[in-house]
Amino acid sequence: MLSDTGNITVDVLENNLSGLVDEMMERLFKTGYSTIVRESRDGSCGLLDAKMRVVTSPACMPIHFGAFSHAGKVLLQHYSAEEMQDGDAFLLNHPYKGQITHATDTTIIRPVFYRGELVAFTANMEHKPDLGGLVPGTNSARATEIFHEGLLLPPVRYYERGAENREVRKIIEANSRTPELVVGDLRGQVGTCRVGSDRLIQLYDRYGRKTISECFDTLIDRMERRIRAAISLWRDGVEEATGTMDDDGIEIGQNRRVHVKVKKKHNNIEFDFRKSGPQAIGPINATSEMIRNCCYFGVISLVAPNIRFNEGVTRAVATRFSRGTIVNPIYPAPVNAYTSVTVLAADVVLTALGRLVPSKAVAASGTAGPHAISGLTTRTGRTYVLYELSLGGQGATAAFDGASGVHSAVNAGTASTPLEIIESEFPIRMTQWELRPDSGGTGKFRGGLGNIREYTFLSAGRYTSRRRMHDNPPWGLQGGGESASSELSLDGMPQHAKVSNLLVPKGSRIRELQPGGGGFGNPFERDPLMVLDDYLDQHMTVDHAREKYGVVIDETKGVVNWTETNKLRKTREVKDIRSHRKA
Amino acid sequence: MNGLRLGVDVGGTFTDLALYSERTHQLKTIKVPTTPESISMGIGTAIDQVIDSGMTPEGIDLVIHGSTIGTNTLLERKGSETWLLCTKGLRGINDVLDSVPPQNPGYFPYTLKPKPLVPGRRVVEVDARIAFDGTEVKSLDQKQIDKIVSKLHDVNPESIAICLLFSFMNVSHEEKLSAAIRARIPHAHVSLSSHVLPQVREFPRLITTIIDAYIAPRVKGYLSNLEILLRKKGIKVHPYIMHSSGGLQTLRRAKMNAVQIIESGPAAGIAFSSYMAKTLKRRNLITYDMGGTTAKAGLIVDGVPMVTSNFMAGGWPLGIRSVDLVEIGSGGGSIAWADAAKSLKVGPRSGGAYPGPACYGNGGEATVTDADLLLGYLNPNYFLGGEMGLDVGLARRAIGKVGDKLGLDPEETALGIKRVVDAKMAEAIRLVSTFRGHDPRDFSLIAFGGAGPVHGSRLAQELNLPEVIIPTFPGIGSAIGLLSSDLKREFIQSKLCLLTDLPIGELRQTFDGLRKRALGELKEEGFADMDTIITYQLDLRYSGQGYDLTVDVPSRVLARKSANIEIRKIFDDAHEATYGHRAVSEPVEVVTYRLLTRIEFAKPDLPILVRGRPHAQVMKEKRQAYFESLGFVETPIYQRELLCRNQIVDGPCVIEQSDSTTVVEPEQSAIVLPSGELIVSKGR
Repeated sequence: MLSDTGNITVDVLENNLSGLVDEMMERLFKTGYSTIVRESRDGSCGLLDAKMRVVTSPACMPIHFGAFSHAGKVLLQHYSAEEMQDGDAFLLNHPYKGQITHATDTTIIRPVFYRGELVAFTANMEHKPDLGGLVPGTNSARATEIFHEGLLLPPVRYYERGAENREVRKIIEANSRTPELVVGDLRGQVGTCRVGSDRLIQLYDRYGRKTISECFDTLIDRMERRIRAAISLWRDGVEEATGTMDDDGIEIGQNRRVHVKVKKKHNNIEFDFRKSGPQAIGPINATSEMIRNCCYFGVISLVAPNIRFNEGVTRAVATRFSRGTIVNPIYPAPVNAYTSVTVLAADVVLTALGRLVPSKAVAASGTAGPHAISGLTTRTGRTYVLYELSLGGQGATAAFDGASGVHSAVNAGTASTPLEIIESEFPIRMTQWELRPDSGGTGKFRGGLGNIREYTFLSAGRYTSRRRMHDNPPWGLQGGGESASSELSLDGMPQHAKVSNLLVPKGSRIRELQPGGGGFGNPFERDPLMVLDDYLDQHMTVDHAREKYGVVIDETKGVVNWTETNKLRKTREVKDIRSHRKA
Repeated sequence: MNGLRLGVDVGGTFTDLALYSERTHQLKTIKVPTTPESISMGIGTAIDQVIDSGMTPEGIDLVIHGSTIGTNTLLERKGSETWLLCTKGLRGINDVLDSVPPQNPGYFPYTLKPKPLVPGRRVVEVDARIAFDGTEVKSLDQKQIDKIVSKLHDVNPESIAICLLFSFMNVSHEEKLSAAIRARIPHAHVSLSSHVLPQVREFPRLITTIIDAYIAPRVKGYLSNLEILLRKKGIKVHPYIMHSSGGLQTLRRAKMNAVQIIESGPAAGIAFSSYMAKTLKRRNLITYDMGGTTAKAGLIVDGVPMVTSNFMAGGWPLGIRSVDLVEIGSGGGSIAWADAAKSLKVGPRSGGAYPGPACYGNGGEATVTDADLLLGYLNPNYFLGGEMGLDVGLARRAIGKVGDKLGLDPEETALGIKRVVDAKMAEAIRLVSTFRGHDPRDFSLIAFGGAGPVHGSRLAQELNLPEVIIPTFPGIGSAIGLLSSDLKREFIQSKLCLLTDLPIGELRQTFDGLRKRALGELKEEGFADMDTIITYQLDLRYSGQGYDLTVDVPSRVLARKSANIEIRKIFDDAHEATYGHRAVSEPVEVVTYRLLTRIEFAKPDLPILVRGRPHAQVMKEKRQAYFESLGFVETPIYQRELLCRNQIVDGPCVIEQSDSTTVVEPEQSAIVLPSGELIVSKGR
């Protein structure tokens, strides 16, 4: 009777495989050269089976979920399994061919051989500080086709039987403003894939080829069943949500919308994005695979946030797109600012799902997007590129305030660059980094706070950014307010959200105000003591507390004036709380 | 010299004392419940028991303590109301808590972060600035110092953390503030980031400094109480305390740097393993300590316990050096459950001491202990030597409930629980071994803690480990570990230079400077006459990388003309082993010089309690126990104390003793060493 323990073996191997991917992740960052890798941890790893299905993913970076699978399938179109040898590693970054985020996310896929047979692939994807293109940092707000967005690599054999292909390396070096960092980080990517591969082979030694390949199937099947079983408990119905994107920096004032219609019936769910806006001339487009990842993230986050993504999720979740929209652009439309779309897509998905499953609703999150700062280093005179992700605030829920100083959950796991690393390596002084008071959307639970980051240039440099949420900040839910908008200024002069190669003179200051998250529920129902806490910790001003929350604070004593608060809360209607619910 | 040495280990559940006589080589052990409300009360009770048994307190000339005071203060958030002084404009370092892992890791649609230990209202900004190279950009004038100190004086803080940007390059601003505070508010504790963690990256430095300030007043109070208690009991010597990286420290030093003893308790377990490695002549050990709520895995390589510079304490990433332990929330009391997709999960919830496992009869849920009982490993009538009866029926019912959801019967479910736990533990072990570039197959496993020996043999199979060591007293390992530790210190200097550009003279000179400083400080602490063993280490990286690897540099290498080339090779090898690649064409940078000092204390020569001749009733009984390859089989049950030296018992079998139970898998056998330990390995 006890011989039928197949399921438990899968549970055991599931732990082993998660550990394998985590190990790859940790090493990827620790061996990194560029700050975007080693400090901001902008990368992810995955394990694929011989059919290029994702078997295990790391417990972070949902936005990279399905990318390996497509990249892998493209690889197999270029190189047959018979052509691959042990020790090979393939490199690609083509956003359309490989359905890769953007060209700066180089992807390495390494076949794993067991006793001469190709059994699996280890893979990772990692942001590079510069791969050529219009601006330092590659990703330009002015790009109008992907040829402006850096060196494009179809799958190429970067390592052959364990040895680096010098020809490929020289091409990459010649196309980057920071060749040492790029090549060093690529070496780390290949090494990390090798570490994962060695470890997988140990598992094959232990369990045998048949057991492991069956385990891959089971893990994927089980995931599909798990997701469908959970979905079947939700009510059937159709829900919609829309988010609005700032303009692309080229057609000024031309906002676009990301729209989703979610249809849920029995154990099926479909996300229909066909009514999203037309593709942009500028780089704020995202390939459909990125949007699918947002849908997978939305579903998995509601039903099984503790388990690892695999291909099974993709079978349970259907999507529809129209060609020529910002969520499914036509080649060669630029895509370097894809996060403008994906962050919003993740939030419209969560908002629509929150209507289907109200107990899980989360308000929208704010992040302004990455920037690249460049110039010449004082020490070596070489070109530097500081490519940084920006932190914002997350949306609130029915039970918690949104987190402050974090990325959107769909990009979870990334961090900001330590100030001391910035100042040690680049001619910059960090003159301000604070949470931004009053920036969280108001609510019974308020949105997370954005933050203020100010860079003083110690020598002249350039600044490029494809910022967002300047005109359309994240929304609140159930009476919760929207967050403060993003802002950008140079020496106090406001700048457009999308700037390319902005010259920053020596001594000048770039100041970024990041958005927070949307609020949840009626702010007049917020516990006045929580409002007081925010005030005392310099997260909220007295005026904001009074006007938005109806809480009167005695500044000299640092306490709530209860009489005035009760009076104010009774007499004043809640007028200025804009509900996002339009559809 | 009476030669009595006392080890006192205070854990979450029990306070263990080990009293060892150098003269008679006798070991006396005492276990009393830990008293969380007043930790020294438990110690007092235990010492009274020692005295009652006829030992004179004056005879004790060494007391060594392992404590969880630091970690408990942090975990329970019972530290001081701490204030923070930070660089003007940069309070976000404290508010944002960047790089603190979320409390809900995974794919949640929102992130849960811990609340800062110092809320914004207790942050004071300092308008002064040091640049990355240590030069002063904006000076700190007396007027501002006075203003800040007056403000602090008004609020009368118990503890203050000072963390200014680049203070590790130039300590003057932090020290000026500290001196002024000490003069005006003498009772307040002050922690300086330039002292606590003088290294780059502001957040780890800040959080480590804050935690130091947060726990220091409690730790100091606790240690002072301990000194008073010992004196009251007639013990005259100054006690030592285990610190996180696995060496002993004077109490005076521990009070100066409280955060350093945060992993004191677990480090004692590693010290014990390290001692066993020496006495049993094993170079490489994986340590496996499984208790009621957690299991911990650590590593000893070439006789040296592994330490790490990035470890987590209560969810906070600390920058101090600590024994490198991976802890998982799977102990004997961890609860098993089935999720919506009918997949079996174990932990992280635990039944704790109360209600505990279902079989305790206090209404608990299905736990690992229940599974071990159902599978026949644990004896319902001989748990804790028979002091506590276990109810098999309750265990089966609780596990059956979980099984119903999985479509499995109770025994199948119990097996599933065991396998899931073993797999998790195997992962934890991989985290400390393969993850750090070691092949577990080169290691012996040492299993201790109450539940360690139950699962150790199976783990060894899972990981292909050649053997498992079961110590004579698995339950009191940590207290013995305290008695077998050395006095250790670490001296650090950061000095960035390309390895190729570094003249060998300067390399030696830097280490010489560190050595002089070290010997000077040790002399001050009264260790001038003792032999000091010195180890040299360098933190290296490929130029352009942001993190470095610490490698040992043997003094014979330093002595050679070709030192740079040899160091380079040591690094390339270490890098490839850890990261899967080496970059021979890339320049290598020296980041930090480390000098470790060790003063050896005499090690106990533990009594050999093993029988010389076989005992007729060594096999107590047979009962049904489950093994994967066999199913349920009649399994011989042995009594540990009745085994004689060199006796071999074949698996499958179970060996019982009052503080633990050892399971030997089929195709394994256990041999009793002449010194009393059991070695479980692949059968004859």
